[in-house]
Amino acid sequence: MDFSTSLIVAASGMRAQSDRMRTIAENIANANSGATTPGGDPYRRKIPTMHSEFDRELNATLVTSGNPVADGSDFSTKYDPGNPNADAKGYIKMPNVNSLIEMMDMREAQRSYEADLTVMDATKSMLSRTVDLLKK
Amino acid sequence: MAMNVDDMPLFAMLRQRMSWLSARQNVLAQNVANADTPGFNARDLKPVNFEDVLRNTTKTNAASGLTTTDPHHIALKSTSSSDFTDVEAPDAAAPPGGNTVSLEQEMIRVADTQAEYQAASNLYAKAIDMMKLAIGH
Repeated sequence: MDFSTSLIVAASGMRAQSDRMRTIAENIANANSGATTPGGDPYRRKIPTMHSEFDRELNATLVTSGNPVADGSDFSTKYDPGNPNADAKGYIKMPNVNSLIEMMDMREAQRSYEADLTVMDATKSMLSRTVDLLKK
Repeated sequence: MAMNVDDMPLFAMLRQRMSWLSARQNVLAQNVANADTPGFNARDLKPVNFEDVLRNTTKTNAASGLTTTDPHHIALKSTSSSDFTDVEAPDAAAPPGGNTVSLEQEMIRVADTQAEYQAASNLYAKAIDMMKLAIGH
């Protein structure tokens, strides 16, 4: 049945977007998580990934979220001589999380999630139209 | 010979139209779900020339593959969703990054498909009403 396939595809999109949202939430929550040991690295930003996957049974292209990959960009530094993890010059390493970028990513995930929801609503109304034909 | 509702050209045509629209909805759902997948190409269903469909359905049994010689035979239905072909259709205002899905354009297509489906199902209901009128209900 075609309508249930459309619903499953839309649901796979929503699942992938909410997985992405979870990774973004991790990044924002850890935006100030410094190193726990002297000379150690602070929290490294994770980049959410997703890829399309052809489902032979449904004959449709679903989307799945992959494992988040580490962002290799440099850590920022902050002058904090009182911190026990500070180096000889008094600097500590801070996570490479830019909250503006995370906000933009979050907006995009939200927008895509809403689009999937719209498709689901439209499909549901088409399905109920078909069922309504039985009432005639 | 037993008469099937689907043997009537009007019903057969509306059925074809509705299955085409639901197949299109399926393709659009895949586009929207993959809107953030790198390298994904937007697809759309090839439009079916419904004039040809009408011509085929008015010819007796020309559309179905097998002939039924006994009323107990079940006629082979020729239309299924796999009969429609989808082609790559990059959206005009697609974002950069090797993905050609534009959510705005897809939303328009989804709304369009939904409205067309409503029209087809209303016509179907109307046709059934007319049948009922003919048999005096």
